[in-house]
This record gives sequence, C-alpha cells and structure tokens, in this order.
Amino acid sequence: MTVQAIVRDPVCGKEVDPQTARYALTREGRTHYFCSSDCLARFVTDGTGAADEPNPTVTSPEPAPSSEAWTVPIRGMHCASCVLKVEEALQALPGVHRVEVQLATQTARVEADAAVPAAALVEAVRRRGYDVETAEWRLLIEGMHCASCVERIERTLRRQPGVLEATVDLARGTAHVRVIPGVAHRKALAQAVADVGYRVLAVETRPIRETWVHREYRDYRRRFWVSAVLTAGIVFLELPSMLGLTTGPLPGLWTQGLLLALALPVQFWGGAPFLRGAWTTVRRGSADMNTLVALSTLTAFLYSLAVTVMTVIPHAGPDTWGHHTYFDTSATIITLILFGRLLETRARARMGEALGRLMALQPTVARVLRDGSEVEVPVEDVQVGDLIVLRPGDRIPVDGEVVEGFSTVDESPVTGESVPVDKRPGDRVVSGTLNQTGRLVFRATQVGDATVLQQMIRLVERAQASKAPVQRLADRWSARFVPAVLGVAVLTFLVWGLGGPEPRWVNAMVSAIAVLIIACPCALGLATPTAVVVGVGRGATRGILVKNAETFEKAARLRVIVFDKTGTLTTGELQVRTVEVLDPAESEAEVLRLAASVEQASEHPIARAIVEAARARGLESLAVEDFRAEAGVGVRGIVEGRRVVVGTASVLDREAVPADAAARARARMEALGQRGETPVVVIVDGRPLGIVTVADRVRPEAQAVLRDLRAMGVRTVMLTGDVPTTAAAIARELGIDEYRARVLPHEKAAHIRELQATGSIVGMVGDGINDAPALAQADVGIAMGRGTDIAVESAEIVLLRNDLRGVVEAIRLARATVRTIRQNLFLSFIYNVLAIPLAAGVLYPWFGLRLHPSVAAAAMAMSSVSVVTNSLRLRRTGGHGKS
Amino acid sequence: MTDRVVVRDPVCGMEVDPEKAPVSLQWEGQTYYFCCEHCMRRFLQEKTSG
Repeated sequence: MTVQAIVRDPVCGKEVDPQTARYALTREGRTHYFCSSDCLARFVTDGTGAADEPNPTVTSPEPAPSSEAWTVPIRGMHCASCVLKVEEALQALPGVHRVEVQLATQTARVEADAAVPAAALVEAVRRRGYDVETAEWRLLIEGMHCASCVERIERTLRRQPGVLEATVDLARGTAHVRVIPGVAHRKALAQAVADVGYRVLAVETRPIRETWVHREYRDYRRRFWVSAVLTAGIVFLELPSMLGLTTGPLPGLWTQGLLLALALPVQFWGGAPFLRGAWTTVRRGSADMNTLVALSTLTAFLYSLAVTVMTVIPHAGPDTWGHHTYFDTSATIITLILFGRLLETRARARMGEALGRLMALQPTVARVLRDGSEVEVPVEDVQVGDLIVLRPGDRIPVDGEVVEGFSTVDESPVTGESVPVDKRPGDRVVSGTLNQTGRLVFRATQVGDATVLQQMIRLVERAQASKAPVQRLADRWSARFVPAVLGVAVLTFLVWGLGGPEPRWVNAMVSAIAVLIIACPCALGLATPTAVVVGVGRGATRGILVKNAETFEKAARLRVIVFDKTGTLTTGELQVRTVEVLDPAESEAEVLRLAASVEQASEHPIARAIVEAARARGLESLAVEDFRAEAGVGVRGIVEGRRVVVGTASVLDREAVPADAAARARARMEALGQRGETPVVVIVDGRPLGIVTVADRVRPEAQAVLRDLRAMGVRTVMLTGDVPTTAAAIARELGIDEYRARVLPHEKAAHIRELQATGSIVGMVGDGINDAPALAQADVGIAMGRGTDIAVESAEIVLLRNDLRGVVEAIRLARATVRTIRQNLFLSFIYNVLAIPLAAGVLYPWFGLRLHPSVAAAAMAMSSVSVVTNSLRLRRTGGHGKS
Repeated sequence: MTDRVVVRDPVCGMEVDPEKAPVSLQWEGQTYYFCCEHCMRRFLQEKTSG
C-alpha cells in the first residue's frame, strides 16, 4: 500500500500528513484526513461527504425536480361535481402540474414533481371530504444491525414518493410502509433502502384496490337491506292514509310513534353516507349530490318529526301544519338511492375487471436457473439475462427468448390470439402468457416495468383514467348544475307555498324535495367515463390497446385509412408467385429445383423465397459447386455439371444468350413485372430455361379487411415504395381505393398531411418501424404489434395481434364506444331536462300532474343504473358483430 | 494493521470487525469503528456538541 506523503484537508484545503493526522474518516475503504475536529465535523454534517463522494469540492447536487405521473386511488366520489372538487384540491398543491380525476375508475391522475409529499396529497383530498386509498406494504430487509439503522431506513423510506408512514421492526427485519398505491413503487422503495446500504429481500404488497370496492359494496348492501325492510314497514303503516282511509291497523298515536321508530334508523344510519358527505361539502360552502339527498330527506324527516311531536303535545296554534307525515318519503328516497349506489358500485367493480384480469396475469415469482439449480425468486429480482425455467402450466413472468425446450404457449390473455403458439429455441415469449405442454428455458430480455404485460397494464390504466373531450364539458356542466337546482327548488317551494293548493306549504315542501332528488346530475357524470372504461377494457382483452379516450372519438370519425404497404398489407416477406417455363422441354419443377440449388448458397431474400418454395413442393436441392454471387445482378454455380445462372434481366446479356431467346425472355419478364412481381430468369448452359417471380407475401386477411373498411364507409389508401405499375397491380388485387407509388419513407407523413388537407380524419396503419412520423401525423396512428414495443409513442392504437383484422375491430369498438357515450349523455340529459319541470309541478295547473318524491328517487337511481348498464353492454362488442 | 481483535461500536455497542467496518474515524489520534454511518454521525454529534 503506497501512501501519499501529503494530502489536503477536503474542507479547508490545508495540507495534512496522513502519518500524523489526528482526525480522519474512513468510509468503504476511502479515507479523508482533516486538520481539525471542526473540519471533520463540518465534512460530515454539511453532507459534503454524505454520499460516497470522494471529492468534497463537488457537492452532490439536489436532483432536479423530475416530474412524475401518478395514479392516486380516491374514495368516496359519487358525482361529477366531486370530480371537480378533488381536481381543484390537488391542483392547488405546489409542485402539482396536472390533475385528471376519473369518477368511473375512482382515480386521480396526477403529474407532479417527485418531491411532492404523499401526505400533502392525502391531506388535500381529505380536507375536501374525500379520502385516498392507502395500502400497507412490508419490506423484508437484510443487514440491519443496530437500533440506529432503524431510524435511517425509516427516514429514507418516508422521503420516497407515495410513502405516508414507515416503521421498521429491527427484530423481525421488516419495514411496514403505508403508501398510496400508484404513487409508491416497490422497486423505488427497495432501491432507496439498498442505496443506504441494506439488502431488500422482498417487498410484499397485497392487492387492496379490489377489496375496497367490494368493501364499499358490502357496506351499501347492508345499509340497503336494513333500510328496505324498515321502509317496507313504514309503507305498510302509511298505506291506509295513502289510500284515503281514516283508520289504520293501529290507533293514530301508536302509528306515529312506530313510524318514527322505523324511520329514524333509515334516516341516520341508512342515510349516513349521504349525511356525512353533505356535511363535509356544506362546511366548505359548496354542494353536491349528497347535499341534495341530505337536504331533501332531512326536510321530509324533520317536518314529519315536528308533526308527530305536535300530535302528541296538544297545541293551540293555527292548524296550518296538517297531520300527514312524510316518513315514507324520506325512507323511500334513502332506500332507493342506496339501491342505486349498490348497483353502481357493483357495476363499477365489474368495469374494472378487464384491468384486474390483466394484473392477475403477472406471476409473483420466477424459477431462475442459478448455478445449475432452480431457485424461486420474486419476479422483481429477475435480471435481464437470467435463465428462467417454465414447467407446463406456468405463467410466463417476464419477456424473453427461448433457449431450450419445445412447448405451446397460450397467448390469448395478452394478444387475444386464440390459437396456441408453438415455441422453440429462438422464439420470443411474452409475460402473462401461459406455457402449456412442455418445459421451456428462456433468457429474460425485458424485466420489471419494461415487460409487455406491465406496459399493457400501465397503458390500460392510463387510458381508462383519461378524459374524453366531451366529458370535460359534462363535468363542468354538472358542477354548475347543483347550485342551479337548489335555486329551482327554492323557487318551486315559494311558488307552491304562495299560490299552490292547500295545505300550501306542505305541498311546497314535497315538490321542492322532488326537484332536489330528480336533479342529481349523477347519470351525467357517469355517462362518458363508464363507456370509456369498458371500451378500453374490452379492447385490451381483444389485443387492441387504445391509448386514451379521445382516440375513440377520433377513430369513430375516421374517413380515410392509409396503409403502409410493407408490414401491414403484406407481411414483408418475399414469396414465390409464379414459375414460368420458357423451354417446352423442361418442367416447372426442374426450373425451380435448379434455381433453388444455386440460391441455397445465397442469403438474399429472393434466394430464400425460392429455396423455401422448392422445399414446399418437395424438391430436393442439389449440390452446387463454384458458387458466385454478384450483388444486384444474380448468382451462378455448377449443378450436376450444368452452368446455372439466376438473376435479373441484365444477366441475359452477360451469358451470351441467343438474341431471339433473350428478347422473348425479356418480354415475359417485363409482362410479369407489370403484375407487381419481381422476376428472375434461370439460365442453364446459356439457354433461358424459365422465369421465377417473387412478391411480397400478402396477408391472407388483407382483402377481407379492405372490403370491410369500404363497407364501413372508410376510404383506403396504400403508400408504397414500388413503381406505379406494381403498386397498381397490388391495389387491384387487394381492392384498395387509392395508391401512392414511389413513396420514400420520409415522405409518408407529407402524404398524410395532404389527405388531411381535404378535411378528412385520417388514420394510418403502420408496423411502427420507419413510419413513426406518419403515425404521429395521422389523426389516429395504428401500430401493428410486433409484440415487444407496445408503448409506441407515435401511435394512438396498438394492435398486439399480428393481424390486420384488428384495424376493423378497433374502429368498430371506437364507434360502439362513442355511440354508447352519446346514448348515455342523451339518457341522462333528457332525463334531467324533462324531469325537473315535471317535479317542480309545471304541469300541475293544467293536468294535476306532479312527481311524488319517491318516484323521483326511483327514477334517479334508475337513471344512473341504466347509464352504467348501457356502458357494460360494450363488453360484448365482438370482432364480427355489426358495426 | 495487525489488530484482528473484534471491537465494539462506541454508539450502539455492536461488535465490529475493524477490517470490515463500513465507517471508521480517527478522533484525537484514536481510531473508532462503527457499524454504520448513522452511529458515526451520532458519535460526532456527541463529541462536537461537547
């Protein structure tokens, strides 16, 4: 060990001799020497040396505030107006850039600086009367020695995004963290702990999102059933008076007392969720649907209570109060609205099924080959390059490439492909798919968040939480709606009270209640997001990833679809189309056999197509000697002692072919070229024997897809680099409306712009390889999946299945989703517009028609349910259904 | 370094092998070994706050 004679104090810069220094700090083998205790102390406390940074002049800079996107689960939102309130609350936080709250998924998508503390998010939401769903995770930590490590780990964990609380248990070697799922990341937590010097063996999380939807559902169910039974009792007791009979089953006083006893729990226990919700909003000086429900039911209840009390206590006042109680009204409203919530919660749980199913596809452990033996490790710990063993029945934990074994894999849950796919060494396997028959060993190529499955989950989550432009309008509208309704209710009350039939003020109250109840804008708030969630989920199960809600709106209005020929209409592989014999003495088989024999030595795509065609016809290739290839011209060699040349028309000149034979061959080649095929001539011993043509392999489903698109009123355009004659031939064969030939890759986007200039909504289908600018330029970019990179930024829709039919299916799905949204908006809008005047009693003066509050409650519950149910119908949108 | 004896972390009292100690400190000419950064900081705090 060589020791430098003199070193410098990293703090004051004075020279220090290591041999005599009285102060020094050694960290991980690196030693710093100091002139004094002060310098040492400053070195440590200033944090100059906090990181293992040997050069103290470079202070580790505060990481630039990086923006992150989180999905925060919110509880307790039931109305579109809640959405705006939560959005406002989160938006107001410093460091938060963008917030999008979704009622249907009960989530807030927050784009914010990583430094925004989780507690601030929770606090902001709670202050508005809602809550943030949290989860408890457990970290198994190795390497904690002393009690003081505990504090260090806790502090580190608490600083991580999404962590609310962290407690370390030294004895058990665990840390419990309370986190906001969707903000906190398992990997980030593990990494943070690892960074301060400990090893995280595992991060255990329990999926809690599902359970709370179910918890909420169970809660509503209990309240509903209890309220329903009590309400039935109330209605039974009230029946005689409703029917105009004077005597009930019990004497008046008893009846009143019993009614009160039955109505009390319904109002304050059954209706507790509404009262609680209303209280928090009232305190903040605003109103939402809870306010409407609470106000209306409390009015009916308290009025009835007053009447009851006055029946018991003899009084002398004027008899303007009437004797009728409205316990039935308050109880029925609460019961019916509970019923509505119950159905809504259940439907919401079902809407999330598609995402839940995707999440369930992710195995938690992987069987990794380490030093020749199989070890089960948590899937987060799998590294790129690890060898993973799959037994029959195993779900594939990460993406990779098979290195050993043979099996079939069911890819249907991820790509929607229903036929099991054979896997042999060299084939790709995708996370979330199911190994069926054999044992496979594969090398991990994409792990963690980068796997296809995890990307898919993120995309679906984000798409489901995105807002369609039309929804923003609906949200804003319904937020203004509640105050307006309160106004209408007051007006109704006054008009009935001042000029209505006797008992005036009682009638006024009943009508005002009906208005309050009927006017809840819930259905309006649910109309769009429920359809989007179901539409995105449906797409995902069919291997169609839609990036956001707006895409549905645009895709539904597509008028022109542009196909990039190679890779979409064709598979991009060459295939032998025709074999023509020029010499009547020879057979097609002989021409192909000789050509294949020479070409087998070549790597050219045309050569491979010819060899494959020969093999497909069962022709044995012969040995070739003296093989030579000339780029762009052709190949030559000796086969069975014969001189065989295969190449373009130019070889005819070089081989000294008799002029008339050469001219004939050239004419045929030109004719075949016109059909869009690429011809090569086969010359044997100086005589042209035959012509073989190759062409792009057309996708078998292409014709049907183009026919379907035309039937749907979509114009099809093909972009190709081929010469016009070839392009025309392919366009004719496929039945495409229009083509653009000789298009260079970088010109594709310009062609899209040109089509858009006519005012059409233009879609573009590409394989995502060199058409990213064109996909981005198009209104709707559709990328044909190659399976690996599903997060293609430039595309709005990604087809996971390598099948053109996905294009038709995607457009059908978009149209169905948009149609559903329109129906839903119409349902909820028309319902509010028609029902409010009816409830206010506009028709009463002429027809004596008015809406009983209970009927209003039933109608309002049903409207939400009908909207949600209508959206759920989208789950059945099939690939072959009517568009 | 010939000292192969196991020493104690002066803060938490844990046994530390001087050869493997993650952090060590020379203070007024004397060497202390710590189990972790945290203990070293606490040690320093006590020394400097007097």
